[in-house]
Amino acid sequence: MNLSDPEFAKAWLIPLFPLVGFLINGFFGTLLPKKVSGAIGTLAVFASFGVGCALFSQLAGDSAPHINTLAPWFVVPGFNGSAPLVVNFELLVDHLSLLMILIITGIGGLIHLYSTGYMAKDPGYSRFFTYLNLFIFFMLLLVMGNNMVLMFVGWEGVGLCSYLLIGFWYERDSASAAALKAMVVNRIGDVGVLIGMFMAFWYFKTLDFHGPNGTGLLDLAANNGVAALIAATPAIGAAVTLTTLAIFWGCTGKSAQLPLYTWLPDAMEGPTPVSALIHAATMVTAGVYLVSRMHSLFELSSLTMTVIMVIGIATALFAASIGMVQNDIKRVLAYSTCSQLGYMFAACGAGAFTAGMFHVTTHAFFKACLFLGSGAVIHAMEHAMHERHKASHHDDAVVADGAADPNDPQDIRNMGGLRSKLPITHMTMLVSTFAIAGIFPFSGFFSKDEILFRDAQTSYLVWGVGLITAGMTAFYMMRMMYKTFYGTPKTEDAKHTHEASPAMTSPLVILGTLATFGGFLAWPQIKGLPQFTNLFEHFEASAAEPTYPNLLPIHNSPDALTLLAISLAVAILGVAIAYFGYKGKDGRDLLIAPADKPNASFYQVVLHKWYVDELYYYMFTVPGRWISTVLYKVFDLKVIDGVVMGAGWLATQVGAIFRTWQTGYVRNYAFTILIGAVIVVVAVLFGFKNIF
Amino acid sequence: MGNVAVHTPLEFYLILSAILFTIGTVGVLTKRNPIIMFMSVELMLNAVNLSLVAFSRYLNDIGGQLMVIFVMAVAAAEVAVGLGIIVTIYRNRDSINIDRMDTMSG
Repeated sequence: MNLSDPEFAKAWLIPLFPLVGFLINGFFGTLLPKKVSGAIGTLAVFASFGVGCALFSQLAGDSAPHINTLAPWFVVPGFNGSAPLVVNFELLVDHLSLLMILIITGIGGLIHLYSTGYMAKDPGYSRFFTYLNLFIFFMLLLVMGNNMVLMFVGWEGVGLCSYLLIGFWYERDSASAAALKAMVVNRIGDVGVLIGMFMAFWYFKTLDFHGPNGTGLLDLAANNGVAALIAATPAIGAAVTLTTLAIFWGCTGKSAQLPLYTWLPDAMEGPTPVSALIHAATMVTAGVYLVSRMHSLFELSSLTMTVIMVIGIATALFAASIGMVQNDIKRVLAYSTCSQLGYMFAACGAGAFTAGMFHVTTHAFFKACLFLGSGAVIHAMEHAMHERHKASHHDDAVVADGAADPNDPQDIRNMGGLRSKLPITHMTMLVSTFAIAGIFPFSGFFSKDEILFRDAQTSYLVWGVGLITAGMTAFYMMRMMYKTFYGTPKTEDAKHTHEASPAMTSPLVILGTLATFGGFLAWPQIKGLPQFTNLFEHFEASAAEPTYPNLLPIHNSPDALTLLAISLAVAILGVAIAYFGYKGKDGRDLLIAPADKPNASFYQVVLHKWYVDELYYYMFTVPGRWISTVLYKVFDLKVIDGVVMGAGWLATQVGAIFRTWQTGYVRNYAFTILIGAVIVVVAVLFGFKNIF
Repeated sequence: MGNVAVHTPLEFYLILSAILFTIGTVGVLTKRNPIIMFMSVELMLNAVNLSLVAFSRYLNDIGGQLMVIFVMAVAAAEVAVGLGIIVTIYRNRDSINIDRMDTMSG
């Protein structure tokens, strides 16, 4: 254990650059020209990426966690003779945090670059980069914090930035409502993290992940400290389960899992680069990161691990089913993000933290690429619609229920045939679609296959659900691609689209390349395949491989090559059904939405997202309002107002008694004075003691 | 020794002072004309003044007589203010009956 390793002192520069960028753009952004403002924001993130790369080469095979203590923060004195709780500003550099740093700053930098083009005409340009830089700062704090408190500062900070950026176009009612929803739902989850922190402090007397001489929480968990405690007091086992479940509850909020996923699809109200950065590549993976970071503790509770796996795979299936019928290009991607995050948790629950983190990585590549591509499509459609509106005065179209609004640039029913207009966008999105579908040799194939294999080892049921979800994923992604890029243009606007500027296409090309070849970082170690080193696993082994492999519920020993072939076949089948199905119908919906039965009840149920929002409305919002009304009408109007009015009433009544003494006659007053004087004189003459 | 009889004893002064004070008090409590009440108050003040002077002489302490000078000065100022108020009340109400001055009644 290297504490405050001077060699890694430069780690503090990583969050510093985005913070400086935030301060400059925040205070002087409106005074600066747009180009300077955007350049500061982008370069700040790339500077951090540079430092991250330097740390990467320096860390190399060094598997020990390196702690960089910046400053003391606070000390809570111990009670009953226990040691004081010391919380410092400490940054943690190990393979896990470094991986996240590289994803956040690398992908984040590309998205900043893209934003300089995407937001070029927006009046809130510098505000946008202010928020983005602040987000990067908090996200880095989240992954680099060496204690749960600092991690939580980042955790809340990214939630704040998410709120600010979803509601970036705050003059839209739907955007501010979505921002509020994200804030509230995340708050519900964050309570879990807080409770987990309290319990960790209560039972283990520390909030540090790693500490001197193995005193950190994770050191205790990894070095049998917690295991020994459990052996001594079985109640600690329950405490570990509750702590980890509470923390996982927070993760379901931040990472949009059942039952707290509802905010993520609505979060698409934000500008598209935000969706790519926060709601696909980085922030929503914070939950997966936290579980992987604390895996030594999580592994000690088999119940928590099972819950994580079940919630993960259930979310994967559930979100995929909704994604199959959405018509908003960004909503399809949002539900697919929920679904893919479900895969990551399913991996964590099976103890395959490395596989989960690898899916975080590849997902960051292909989902960022897909979102940025969808942004390019929306940008092009918006531009075409704008040109049309300039040519002729337009009124808001009257749209039949369930039909496409012809002025909605995000509705894939207005698109079609964009392939020839946006060739670069099409190509990069296509490879990313193959990646997310899990087709060899694209990156998602490697990560998803590893997850499915590890789940199959635990339970064939989970594997089966994962496999079905993989097929559905392949289907709905190809459906989205077909309706957007193939067939004939469905509107005049779709015919008049143009490819975006190089600032927007170059990040697409880089991300598309990563999405294509990123998978080779983790070549599967399976007999019968050509052997290459699994670089990713090699790199992450120290940080994310299970501490207690013997505690994992491994029941099956399936043949890896067979599973690999099955999942590949399912993925290809899904893509093929979508492509040829939609080709035959020229983009009209098939399977779940037959053209002759658009109101089929099951289709309607799925289209309305299984009515979960409505369910939550009636389960929580309506009772909440009812309780508020009761409190208002009974407690506030009767009790509170009663006390306040009662105080005044009492004063009036007491006054009514004493006011009769005030006769207004001078002689009465004079007489009172005389009596008083007599009493004083008598008292003085005879002494107080004798009278009273 | 022949000089002793010419001194009036202190008690005489004090009894006179008490009588004057009582007359003043009764006057204040019973009269409805504020002018007469004023005079009664002055009587009470001067009763106290008398006892102060008597004690001053008896104790051979000039302080009591000094204080009387002050009391008289303050009483003169007070009379000026009080009479001013009475004149104003009369102008406003055409009456100075003290029992009708009961606007402060609760």
